[in-house]
Order: sequence, then structure tokens, then C-alpha cells
Amino acid sequence: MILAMAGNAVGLGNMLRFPVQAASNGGGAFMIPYVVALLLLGIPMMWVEWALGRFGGARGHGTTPGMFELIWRSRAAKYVGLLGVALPLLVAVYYTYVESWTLAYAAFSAAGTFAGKPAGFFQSFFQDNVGGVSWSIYAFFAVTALLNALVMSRGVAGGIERLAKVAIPLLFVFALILVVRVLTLGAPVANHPERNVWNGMAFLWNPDVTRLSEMRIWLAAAGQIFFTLSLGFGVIACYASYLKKDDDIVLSGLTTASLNETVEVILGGSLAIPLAFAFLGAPAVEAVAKSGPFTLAFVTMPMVFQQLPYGQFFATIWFLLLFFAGITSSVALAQAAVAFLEDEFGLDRTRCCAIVWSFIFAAANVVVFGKGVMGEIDFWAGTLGIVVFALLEVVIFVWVLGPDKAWAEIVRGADINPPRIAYYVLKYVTPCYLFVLVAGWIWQDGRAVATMSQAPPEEVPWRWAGRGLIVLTIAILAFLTARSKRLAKDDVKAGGAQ
Amino acid sequence: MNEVHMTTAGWFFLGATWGAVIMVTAYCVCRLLRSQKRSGSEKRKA
Repeated sequence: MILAMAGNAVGLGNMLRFPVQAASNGGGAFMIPYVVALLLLGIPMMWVEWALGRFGGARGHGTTPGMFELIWRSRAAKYVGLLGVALPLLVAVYYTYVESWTLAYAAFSAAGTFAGKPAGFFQSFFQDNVGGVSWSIYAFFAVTALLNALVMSRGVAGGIERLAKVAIPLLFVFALILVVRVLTLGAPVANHPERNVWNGMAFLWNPDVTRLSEMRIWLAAAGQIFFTLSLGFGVIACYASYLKKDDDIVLSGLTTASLNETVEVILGGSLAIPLAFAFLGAPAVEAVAKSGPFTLAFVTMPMVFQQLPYGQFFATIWFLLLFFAGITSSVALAQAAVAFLEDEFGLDRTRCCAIVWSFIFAAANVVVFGKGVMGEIDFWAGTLGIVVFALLEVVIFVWVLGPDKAWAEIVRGADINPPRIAYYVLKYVTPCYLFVLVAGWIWQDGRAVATMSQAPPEEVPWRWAGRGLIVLTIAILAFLTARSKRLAKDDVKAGGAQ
Repeated sequence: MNEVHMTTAGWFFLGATWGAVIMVTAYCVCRLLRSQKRSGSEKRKA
């Protein structure tokens, strides 16, 4: 289960999002709000989701609609909880598509498609095949969705945990091979001795403390912690529902978080940016930091690998590493919807996987063909949605259940005793921090995104289609929640208790 | 960012963060393995 949880947490964000965020948000200074967010948000929320999951699982509910209803005796609880199924499902729609690019690029790299190509080739290749619609990428997307469905149809122990047992160690091995290669590279461009990988690290680690006064950096750091630890998706709670009543969650949650940080800070931080600096120099890295993680992964990295001895091999393991990071997260994202259908409607797992992955595949066509849809879903579901849902989780678990009961639930069966201060952090600091985060995002980006004022005009209709997809997904799940006889039975009990 | 050389402060941030992450991860993994070993032997005894 720890490896499956680590697989859920370790994703594309560790290798791609973190270095770009750190490089564009003050370098080493970014680590200050990052560590603060990890301690005040990341670890407490990790414990809340693990405890919520174990609490619900012991009472027969594997997803948040049922879990919320157990704690919050209100008819609204199950509808609030359905966000814990809708958000990961919506994120899975575009995440799986991005994951399929990594599989496609691994295959292209292994087949030598990129060998000897000039630097300009990679930007146009990415724009034509990924930015536009390419049937070869579409085929890889179909294969990726099928692979996910096959893994999931074998169950949590036989499919998801087995995948994590293979993929996570392989991911570590591939990442270590690449890190050793990068850190022993020195200055690979003969007439630029100053371009060595350690100076490339300066982009991530030289602190620009003047940036600490910017609210944007604190929001970016908290957002990175959320995305990297997969908090606020309801997925951790879903996995934790398979734990036994007295299984440890304090040490397990901490181990999952620390394994994730090792991959992100040490391995993820030592690869892409230093390598790009060593070959392309400072202006290229500054441009990459501005243009975002996709350019880094699918344009800059293949370009750089072509200049590296045995680049074909290193490029293949780089993209395979990303694929393993992606697939262990995408199965987790889809698991909440599968478990919801299994638990609340008694459907068999194979049928649930077929329904969920058919939905993801069909819905992803809006992302594939519609420019700007990915950004739209990413903001509403993958950025704002997860923080709002995390706030609801912590309020319901800590304040509705009661702070003392919630704390007792967290520390039951614990191998290590968390310090008492963690109780007060969970009770006061984490909810307030989350509230500030939600307000900050709405204040900073909310109006521009809501009114689409910065969106190119040709993207506006597609962005509306993206919003339609979000509303449709939530409406379908609300309809299913209302139709669930099991949830309705708990509803009656809730009414009686009141 | 025009600075392309690691500064002393950069090395400090790198060292402190890497050190903390490695130490916490090693501690957690060792504790977890020890506790799993213990619970495994308790199960066998039972």
C-alpha cells in the first residue's frame, strides 16, 4: 500500500512541474514557502486523508461521498463528497492524455526517430503532433487508456499494487542512472566551460529572497505541495479505505510524503534544468522556465539528449520514467470513480473499469481536439478544485467529527507519536492556510480565468466546452449519488440520528 | 536571473534541503521496515 500511495504521489509534477516552479519563483527562496507549505499543509492533510479513508473503509465506504455522510449527518454530505470522485476523474481526463505523450516519446526515442535531428525540429514536432492532432499520438493515447483499464481491472492488490511494486523501483533506478549521468557531465560544451551542471543548479537553488514578499510565490509553493502529494483529490482517502482498523497511518503518511520529496527535490531537481543549462545555456533555461513543463519535457529534453553520448538510451529511459510516474498516478485518479461504482452500486470491477475508462477516453477527445480545454480543466479541477475540496475535508474531518476524535483517529495504531503541536496545526493552522490559499487564488487568477479575458479568442468556445464537461461530469455523479440505494440508506440513518 | 554560478547561499539551500529530505526519508523507511518486520514476527507467533 505504501508503494501504491507513493506511486499515486510521484507523478509527472515531480520531474517537470517542480523544477520549472522553483526556477521561475525565486530559486532557493522558493524552498522556504515550499517547506512551510509541506509542514503546515502537506503532512497534516496527508494524515487527514489517510485517517478519513481508514475511517470510511472500516464502515464500508471507499469513497468520499460515503465517508462524508458517515461524519456529517446531513443530506448535503454525499453531494459535497462527490467532489472527491469528480475532481480526480476530471484530472484523469487530461492527465492520461499527457501520460500518453510520454509513452509515445519513449517509443520514438527507442526507435531512433529523433536521432540526428536539428534543434529546430523538436519544437515543430511537438506543435504538429501534440499541439495539433496526430493520429500516431492518438493511437498512443488509446493504448495508454487501455493499459490503465487493464491494470485497474485486476483489482487493487492484483493490479494497482503490483504495478507500483514494479514501476516505482524502476522509476528510482532510471532516475538514479540519469542523475549520475547528469552530475558527472561536467561542462559538455567545449567553448563554454562556465556551463556545467552545478552552475545549472543555481537556477533552482540560488535564493532570490526579495521574491519572498510576493504572494504569488507562496501560492505557487502551496499549489506545488498539493499537486505533488496528490492532496485534495480524494484519492488518498480512497486508497486508505483498504487499510485495517489499526494500521499505522502517521508513519505511513510521512514515509509516502518523504519518498515523494526525495523524487521531487533530489532527483527531479537534478535532472532537467541543470542538463538544459549545461547544453543550451542560461537564456534557454530562462525561456524554458517561462514556457512551462511541457516545453521542458517534450522539446528541450529530447533536443538535449541528442547532444549527449548514448542520448537515444538516456532519452528512452527519461520518457519511460515519466510514463511510470504517470501511470501510477492515473490509475489512482481513476480508482475513486471505480470504487464509487463498486461500493455504491455493487457492480463488478471489470464493468466499473470499462465504464470509467470509456468515459475518460470519450471525454478526453474534448481535450485532444479543443485548444485551451486542458488549461481550463486544470485550473477549475486540478488547481482551485483540489484546494476547495481539501478545505472541506479538513473542516468535516476535524471540526464536524470533533478535533479530539479526529486526532484520536489519526494516532490510533501509530508507530511514532506526532508532536502535540501537530494537533493545533491541524485544528487551526491548516484550515486557515487553506482558506487563505483559496481566497488568494480567486483574487490572483479567478477573475481572469472566469471571464477568459486573457484567453485567445479562438480558444473561447473550446474553453466553454471544457466548462461544460466539468458541469456534465458533476451532474452525472450527482445523479448517480442520488440513485445510490446504499447512500440513501445511510441518509435515512442520518435523518434518524438528527 | 542572470546569476549562473552557484553562490554560497545556493549551496546552503541545496545542502540543507537535500540533507533534511534524505535524513527524514531514511528514518521513515527504516522505522517502517522495522515495524513491518515486528508485526510479521508477531503474526507468526500468534
